[in-house]
Amino acid sequence: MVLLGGYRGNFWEVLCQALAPGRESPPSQSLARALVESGALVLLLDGINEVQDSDLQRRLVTEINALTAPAAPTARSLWIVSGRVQDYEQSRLRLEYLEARRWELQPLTADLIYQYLASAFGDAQGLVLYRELGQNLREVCTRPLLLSMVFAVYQQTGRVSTGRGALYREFVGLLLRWGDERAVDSEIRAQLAGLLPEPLTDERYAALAEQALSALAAAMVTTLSEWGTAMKYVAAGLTTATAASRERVANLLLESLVRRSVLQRDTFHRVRFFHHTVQEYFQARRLIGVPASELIPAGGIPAERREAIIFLAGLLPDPAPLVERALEFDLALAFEMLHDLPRPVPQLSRRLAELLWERIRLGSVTGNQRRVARLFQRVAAQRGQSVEELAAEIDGAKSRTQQAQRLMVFYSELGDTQSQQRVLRGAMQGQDVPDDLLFRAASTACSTGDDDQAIDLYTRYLKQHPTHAVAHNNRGFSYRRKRDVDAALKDYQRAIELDGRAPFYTNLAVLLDQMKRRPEAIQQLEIALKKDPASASAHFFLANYIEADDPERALSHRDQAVRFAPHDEDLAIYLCELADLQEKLGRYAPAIRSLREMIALDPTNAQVASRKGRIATLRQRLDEEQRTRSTRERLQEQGELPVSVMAVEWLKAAGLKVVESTAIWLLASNERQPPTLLPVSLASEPLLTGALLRELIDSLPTAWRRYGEVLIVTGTDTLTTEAHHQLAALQDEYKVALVTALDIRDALLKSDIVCHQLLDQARKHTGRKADPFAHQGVVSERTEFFGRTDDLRTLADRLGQGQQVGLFGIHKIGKSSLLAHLGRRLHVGHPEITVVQVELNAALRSAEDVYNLIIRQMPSADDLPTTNLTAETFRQTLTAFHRRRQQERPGHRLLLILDEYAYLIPDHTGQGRVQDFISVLGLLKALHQEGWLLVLPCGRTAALNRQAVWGRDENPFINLLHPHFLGPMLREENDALMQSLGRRAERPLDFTPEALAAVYAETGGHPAFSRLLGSRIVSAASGEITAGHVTAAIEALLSKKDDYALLTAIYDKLDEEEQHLARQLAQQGPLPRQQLIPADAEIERRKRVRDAIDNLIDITVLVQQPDGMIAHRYGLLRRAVEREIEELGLEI
Amino acid sequence: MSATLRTNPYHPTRPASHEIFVGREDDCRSLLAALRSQGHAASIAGPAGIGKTSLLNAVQRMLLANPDLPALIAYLDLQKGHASLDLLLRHLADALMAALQSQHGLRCPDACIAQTHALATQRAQIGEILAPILEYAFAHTQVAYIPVLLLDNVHRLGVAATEDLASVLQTAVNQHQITCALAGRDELVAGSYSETSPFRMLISYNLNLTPLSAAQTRELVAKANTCGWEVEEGCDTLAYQLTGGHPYKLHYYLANVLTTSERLSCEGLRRRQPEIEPYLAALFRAEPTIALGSSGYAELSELIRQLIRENRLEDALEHLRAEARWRDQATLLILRLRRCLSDMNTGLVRRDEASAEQTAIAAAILQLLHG
Repeated sequence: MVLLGGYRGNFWEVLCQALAPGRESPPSQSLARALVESGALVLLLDGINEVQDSDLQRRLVTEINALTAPAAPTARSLWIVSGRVQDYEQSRLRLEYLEARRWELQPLTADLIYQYLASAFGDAQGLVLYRELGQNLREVCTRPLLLSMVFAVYQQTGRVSTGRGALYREFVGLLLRWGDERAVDSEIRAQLAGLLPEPLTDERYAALAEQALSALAAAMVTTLSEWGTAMKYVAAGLTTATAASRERVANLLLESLVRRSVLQRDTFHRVRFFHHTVQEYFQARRLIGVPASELIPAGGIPAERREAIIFLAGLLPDPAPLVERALEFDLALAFEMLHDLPRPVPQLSRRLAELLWERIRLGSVTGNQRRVARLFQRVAAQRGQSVEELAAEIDGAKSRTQQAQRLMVFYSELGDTQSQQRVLRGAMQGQDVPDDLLFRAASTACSTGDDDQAIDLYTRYLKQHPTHAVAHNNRGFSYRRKRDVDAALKDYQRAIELDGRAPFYTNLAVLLDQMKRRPEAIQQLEIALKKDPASASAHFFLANYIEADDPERALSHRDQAVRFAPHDEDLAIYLCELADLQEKLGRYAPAIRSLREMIALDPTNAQVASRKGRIATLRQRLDEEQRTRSTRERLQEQGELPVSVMAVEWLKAAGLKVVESTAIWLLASNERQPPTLLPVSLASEPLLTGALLRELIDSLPTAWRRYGEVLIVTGTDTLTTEAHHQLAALQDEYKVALVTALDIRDALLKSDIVCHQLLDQARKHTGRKADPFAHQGVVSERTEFFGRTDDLRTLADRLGQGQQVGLFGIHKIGKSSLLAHLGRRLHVGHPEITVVQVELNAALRSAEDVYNLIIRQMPSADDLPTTNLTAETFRQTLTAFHRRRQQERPGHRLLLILDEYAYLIPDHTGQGRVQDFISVLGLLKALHQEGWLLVLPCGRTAALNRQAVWGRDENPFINLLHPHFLGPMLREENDALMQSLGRRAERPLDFTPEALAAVYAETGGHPAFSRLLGSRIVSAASGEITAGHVTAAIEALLSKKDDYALLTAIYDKLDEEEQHLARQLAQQGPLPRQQLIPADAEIERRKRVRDAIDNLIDITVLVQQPDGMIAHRYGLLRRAVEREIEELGLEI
Repeated sequence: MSATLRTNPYHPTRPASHEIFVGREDDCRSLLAALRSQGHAASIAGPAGIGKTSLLNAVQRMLLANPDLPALIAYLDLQKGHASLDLLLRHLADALMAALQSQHGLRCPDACIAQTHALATQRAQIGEILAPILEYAFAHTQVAYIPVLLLDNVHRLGVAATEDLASVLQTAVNQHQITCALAGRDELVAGSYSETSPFRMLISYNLNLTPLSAAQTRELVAKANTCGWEVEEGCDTLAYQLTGGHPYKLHYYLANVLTTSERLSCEGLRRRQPEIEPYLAALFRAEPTIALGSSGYAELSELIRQLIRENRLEDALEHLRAEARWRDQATLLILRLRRCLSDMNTGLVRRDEASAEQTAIAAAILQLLHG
């Protein structure tokens, strides 16, 4: 076994050490070579990903390739190399000869976990231990490393901790110590020690790690965070390092925690905890002190918070108030909490038992409360009592018959007929069934299959209770089994007459089907589903009946049956049918998932082996299918691929071919005339800094420098200001183009031509430009987009939390550009959200037009209907899309961005374009209320959120949106834009601080205004730009109408009252609010003016100064309005 | 004396060909600069006859002559039968497909045409409609063509249709999917205000076309010389004085003189002036497309009668079509007229039959005009 973590550039060195571990004088390299060449060795090279340095990595792979080449004598030995799939995929290095026999280890399945425990502790104890783990811990144990840690903890303490909190503490402690023997992060530890004032002992390191993890978990909104953001979160939580070094310490800590597998880093440099429950564990700490009513709201707690609240109970000195709150609203949660507490609290578990017992009694449809019954069993076990002891304790005041009745209900829920009979026998006096036990006795007879007895008992019972619907239903069931269909039909119909519950319709349907009346049966099931859409059995039978004719629809019902299965026994049946149908329809991946779920449901079942055999067969078919699929199809399905894979595919799609490569560079060539060669670098670092750009350019192979052009593909979407400046400076040496992996991903998902256009666009932005400030339309290129960090974060966070947001702002402030970048940010931070963006326009006349437009922009729109869409088909299409995605991405949501939403609603004159816009809004709102659709309208005003009615129609969106008014850029963002673009000019500009201040004073940070002014400056000056140059440029700009057309256009787009205010303030300067509202005007006019002032402040045309005066926000706009007044003689 | 075969280079109603096109160098340069990359929209505004179409044609020629620019240039005259937005979108796509065939020899397959038409019918966004064409072209040439749409006579569309057009163009321009130039009589950026009217935001370069200068007029007059006509000195100055450099008027005068005399002389110009001047005055007075008052109606009626007398039925119908109340009937009559002319040219009907049909159309015009 060769641990590759110790590789330093010579494979034979590490091999020799491995051949004689611990010996001071290892065997000679020639001996080692002779041994390998003899073919006598099986070489296990472990942890290729642990070689971090890219040069070393390349050297190692080259060495292994040379040694494993079929003609090499060293290939006579057997070679096995292990490493993390993701790291291997991300590096472009290939194990040329071993690649063909590549095995990917999958997570452990439940049965393997059980087998592991059984082999370690014996079958009986293994089974006990397995059951002790509980569902959540079993999930964690799917990673062998973690399973062995559970095992290690068990070995240390002799038990599986009941509190997961304690277990996680132990886990993390072990992970922090893991890998010491491999020195996985010795360099990082050394660098870290250099930055800290105190010595870095193991304890200190553990404390720092805990601080970092707590800060990170507390700040992360979702399970993923970008590296740069994560670094900031961690830095903010550190108390030890100096302020200056905090970010560097945070960076090193993150790196160390990634190497130790406490955290993980993906292709897009997003960080996540190795398991979401660990994040929740650390998150729980921030919840201490939050009132129980807030933690567990009456409407239920969000799923993502559930774990954190369970952990919290274990952390609180007095968990009683929190558990009692859970007892009010969520018994399963209360059970989990009690199970997790470090010490038992008998009075709370007794209360829980009482409530569970009460709920079982209420259940009348057998089997629906089986999970509750199971929970009751577990509570009894926790308390060290038998079920009957605990039940007797609760029902102590009741008669014996009543107690027996309730116990029989309990056992019938569990399907335990023997116990039902036992209880019944115990309660009977001789052979007679007492009247008050008639119903339960009949149910028991029915459960045991004694239909004659059941019919007899139910008939007796019905004589006393002729309107008991359940009794009719149950007797009908027994009649049906006896094939007395007429009697059964009569009973079922009577039950429905008395109480039209979904299960009765389902039973009737089954009977009708038995009577060869399938269409009626289907009809009855549809009624059942209308009554109760969550009726698993109705979905199940409906799927059975329609499967032959409409397998796709049947599949959807089978999915629903699984989703709503009331207990594990039914779930097992439903899963089995679902897996069969999935397999039949060629849905191999979902079929594998269903089979895995079946195994997880009952891992000790004898059928596990055959199910695994089926999985293996399906896996082969899936692999065959995958092999024939293009990278694009994989991308479509998986959402993302390693940057290196995407980059190569993208270059190919754009018409280029990779002709040569080194460790970090590719050489791409086009085959057209004249052929050009383009060096391409893959920058996988999480943050693109100026220094890194310099390093990359310096590493360009000498032979490729003559091509004069360079393309950098970066995995990150974050460009520091300094990186912008460096990029401008590098243009003197080479034409440096830059694209992000997210751009590439988007282009690949669209088409070849878009790939080509992306490449073309990136190359166009290289070199020096006469006017680098000029830019039309949406700014989608990363190198042209400045600032907006806070806006992007706020919007992404809000959307991530499921809030509806509206984006509003003055024309040309950059809303559409922000949306383009928001889409990418969401892909990185919230991969569970599918973004669909549409830009509305005047071509839309009807709701159908709007629905068509949306559907056409959906991913995989080719498979969706785009003609004759009604509201219902639109809803169905969207819902079906969401469900499909939900299977691949749990917690999936669809974000619909409606840019230029004003085209949907009537304008200020009340004229509407889309006739039935209210129904569109109503439908979008209804879908939003289902919890998976987010709508983000974008436009100049917040009318959609504010206007109560249009004519007679009420606005369904009133106050539904969280308005986000996009203001100008911050001063430093504006400075970055001016400086960076100025440096890219053919005659570069160098702004003095006074000049930058003068620009900001005039443009107010409005990006289009700053670019406009920049264009004017660059046309007249170069070199050092002073405030004087800026003033001259403003004068020049305002002297030519065409040049400031953008400003007047923005003014023209304001409505009448707004224009009036803009003129008044341009001419008279800042005024108090009261003075702007004409006192002598009618109330309606005054209201209009007030609203216009508020809107102009919201969209940042005006600003309320600290002294309360209202003034123009943008100097340039004010001047343009002044010009209009002068030229046109406009009255105020 | 032997007759010399000389062509009359002037034609007031046709856009200027490469040979006769003069001046406008700065305008062409600016327009080309504005159209060279995706995501730009330029407008050319100016009164009737000022040379908007000729300038568009000149720009088209220059773009085609530039091998470095992978442009796919489609010219579309918006006065021709664009009754609805989907029809207009369809014509845009057809024009682009025709451009692909004529400029690059690629004929879109039927499936691509059908897909494009279906998208146009659904009033999809321009980017979506053109995508199948561009993708097809890319697959065959590995060139990502930039669609350059040259849209002429925008003023013919009417307010609502113009706003629709501007709005759909806006999306495509913003997304850098197309580049376009719009030519019309009104200055597009000074259009009427509306909450969602996007013209002001669409146009990034606006060109107000002015008459030719005296020097450019001299250049134009000299073209007769290159075609073998004798040109008297001082003709250019007089032509400039008579027309103010207005290209239509210049062409009208020069064409007229060359039709009736053997040389281009000051005397010839002066002799034609009494006849030409009232016609041109009437023609250009009738230009505004606003609702006509009683005096405006009388002028238009006179102009149309004059055009009918000159057998310029299509011109007469175009004037009628500019008025909203006659638009639909006039459009139908134009179609009828074109069918008749086409049938005559292809020999489907005899000349006398076609003549009878034209007489019927003229009668229909007069009937329309007088209610």
